[in-house]
Amino acid sequence: MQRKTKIIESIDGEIFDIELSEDLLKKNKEIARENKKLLEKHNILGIDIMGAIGAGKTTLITKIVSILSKKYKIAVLCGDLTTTLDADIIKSAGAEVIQINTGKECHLDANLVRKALKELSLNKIDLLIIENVGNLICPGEFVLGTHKRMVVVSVTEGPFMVVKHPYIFMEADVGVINKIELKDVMDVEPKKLQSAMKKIKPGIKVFETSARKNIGVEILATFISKLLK
Amino acid sequence: MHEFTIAKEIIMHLNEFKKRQNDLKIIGLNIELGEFTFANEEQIKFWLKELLKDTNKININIKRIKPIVYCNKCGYSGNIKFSADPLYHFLLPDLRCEKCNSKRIDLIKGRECNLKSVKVKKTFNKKKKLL
Repeated sequence: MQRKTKIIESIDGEIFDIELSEDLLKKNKEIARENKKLLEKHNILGIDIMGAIGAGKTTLITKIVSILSKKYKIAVLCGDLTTTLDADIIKSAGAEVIQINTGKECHLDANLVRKALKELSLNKIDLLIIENVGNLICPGEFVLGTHKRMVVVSVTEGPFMVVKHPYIFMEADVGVINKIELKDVMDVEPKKLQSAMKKIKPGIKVFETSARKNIGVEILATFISKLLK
Repeated sequence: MHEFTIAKEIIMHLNEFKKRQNDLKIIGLNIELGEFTFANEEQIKFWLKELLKDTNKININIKRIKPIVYCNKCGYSGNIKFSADPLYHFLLPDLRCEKCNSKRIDLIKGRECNLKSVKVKKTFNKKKKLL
């Protein structure tokens, strides 16, 4: 029977484009938004701390926890490929700690954080600190749902650490230059690292610290406590 | 390493697409990658080729998207400033308004990581022909 309506359809072997416009990181962003909502529901301030291996993130967090745990309830999520070494250290400072082992992944993602949040008594927490996996590249891409993102570098990483990794600083609200007691030995000027951070991210708040020698940590802890009010 | 995660995500979308459109054979991928995305183009291609190696050859096209900023102070919308320091081998991004130097700017382009489209070839669909 002959068709009354003419139909135009692609024929066998025809080549054409089909628009998908799929945001490949959309899922992570969506879960991060859910995480943030959950934190806000429980009035929790979330801080994501990023930095290279050996920058001093764990020692810095331990010292911050020691200072702030007198007044606030703190939980820390520790991201590492393996081991609970950092978690054990931070726990002793007075925070509830959950270890997230990523196995082979070089960053935390919002889904891993969501899983960890389920393990916490959120109504008993004021501050959530997330120690990201030691890496100055990948963690920047994956938002976790925190209110602030902090990048820690140390003078022992050399004078070019900031300019070599500009993109992660574009994501940061706070920059910390750690191990400043070693600046002369390392022949690194923290002020130059500061100006590089500010050049990449105008408005970034920068602190100079030595977590081990307790220099500048109190100022950083005061800054965080002001965010908690 | 997160290039592998991105490649896996692309494969997931392709598998879903194939379920919906089983009479179309995917012969190419068009991916958009912002210049401020922390992903390496070559590594994404490498992982995609690794993950797709059992299937027929698929042409992978990655388009880089230049960063565009919007100034919340003066309303400027356009290119981002880069400062060239001869000491370094690359241009440093400067997140300040090119016109009024304000810090209150938003990056509106340059962070894309999208599977923009797929190039497909219509294949003979036995089921359809039988009907």
